[in-house]
Amino acid sequence: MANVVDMNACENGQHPYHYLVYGLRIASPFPCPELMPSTDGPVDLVVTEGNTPHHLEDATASGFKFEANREHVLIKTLRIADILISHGTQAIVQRKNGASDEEVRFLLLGWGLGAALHQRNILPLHASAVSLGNEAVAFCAPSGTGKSSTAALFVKQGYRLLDDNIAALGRVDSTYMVFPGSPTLKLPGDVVQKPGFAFNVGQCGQPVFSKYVVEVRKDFSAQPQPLRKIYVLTRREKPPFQLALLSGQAKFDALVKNIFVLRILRGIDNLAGLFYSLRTLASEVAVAEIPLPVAPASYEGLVGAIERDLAVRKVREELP
Amino acid sequence: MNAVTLESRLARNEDLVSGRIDDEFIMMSIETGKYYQLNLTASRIWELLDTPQTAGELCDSLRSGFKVSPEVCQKEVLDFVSRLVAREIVQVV
Repeated sequence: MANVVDMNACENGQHPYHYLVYGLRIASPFPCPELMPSTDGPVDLVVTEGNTPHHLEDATASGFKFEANREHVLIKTLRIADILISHGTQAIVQRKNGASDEEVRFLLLGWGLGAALHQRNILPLHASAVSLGNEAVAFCAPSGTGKSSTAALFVKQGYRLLDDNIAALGRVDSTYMVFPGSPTLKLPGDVVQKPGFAFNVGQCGQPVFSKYVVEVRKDFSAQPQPLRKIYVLTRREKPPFQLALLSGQAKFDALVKNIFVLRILRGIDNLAGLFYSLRTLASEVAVAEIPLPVAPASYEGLVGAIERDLAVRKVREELP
Repeated sequence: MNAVTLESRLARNEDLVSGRIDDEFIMMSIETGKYYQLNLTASRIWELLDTPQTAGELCDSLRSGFKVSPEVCQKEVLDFVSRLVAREIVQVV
């Protein structure tokens, strides 16, 4: 069905670009400048350009732009690329004519890696994550709510980015850790063009899918961080920044709704594993809802609200 | 669907996984991904059905500790269990 990938190809120059993202070392035939380079350790995921099947045999789930079964996820788009993710170890990318490198990478490093994480039983939350020094917090929200903008606010205040789109959670010694992703913020034009925006707009380049890519390597945490708390960003008619701790089904519901590419997971047929992972996560990590003010009001006060909630202001002041 | 009687042997739907989150009992269908919270009575029935048993045996277990007549208990339990069967949380085996 698919091209057989020669893992030894990693050693003979066919995949000269190696990166570390979400705890995975990937080998790629093309550069991914938005990722952190890596030279050490075995390769976990090999990316190859080649032909993908038109459909998956024995697909157990299918939907908008994807098909999935226990071993494979096939992402299908009309204009950018089709990508076959297999066993969490192989990704075959078949470009469409006219697709830009940036668009292909956007798809591969988003949905593609999301599928690979599910296949490897690493829980990807649709969340941005920042390091507060020696622990992390994650901000869950649907697209367009303000995950990346929230992360940008924290980076502006001196904290370090872990990722602005996926909080990849894995258990290490009975602790949920957030694995670093990409040292970039993908921000909408109205945020980037805001007067006093902290980052150099001139370095952003052309937008990809209406988002400007801002590199923040010097403000990036390259080490996994233990997860302290999850905040669910909402835009409701409530006093802004007034936190509400979630419990029971409300907490479970919030976590389920913020799993990255959850619909793909149903094809992988591991909902039981998902349930027990979420139950463990819910029992060990607090989850709170935090309403954001309705635009165009500023939410500069969000960082202070989180700092007060976690009593981390002193920690931030001690950062070099 | 046949009516549930005291002699109906009941068992958990094996396509459901469950667990407590904080003080609430949550379960999810691994077939459909749908999930819901069980109230105290339903969660107690679920726990008792760790071993398949008849509705009558369930009544006896549930009635202990409550001052209620067997007839009232049976009527309420059968009604409640029937709804769990209708929702495919519990099945007649």
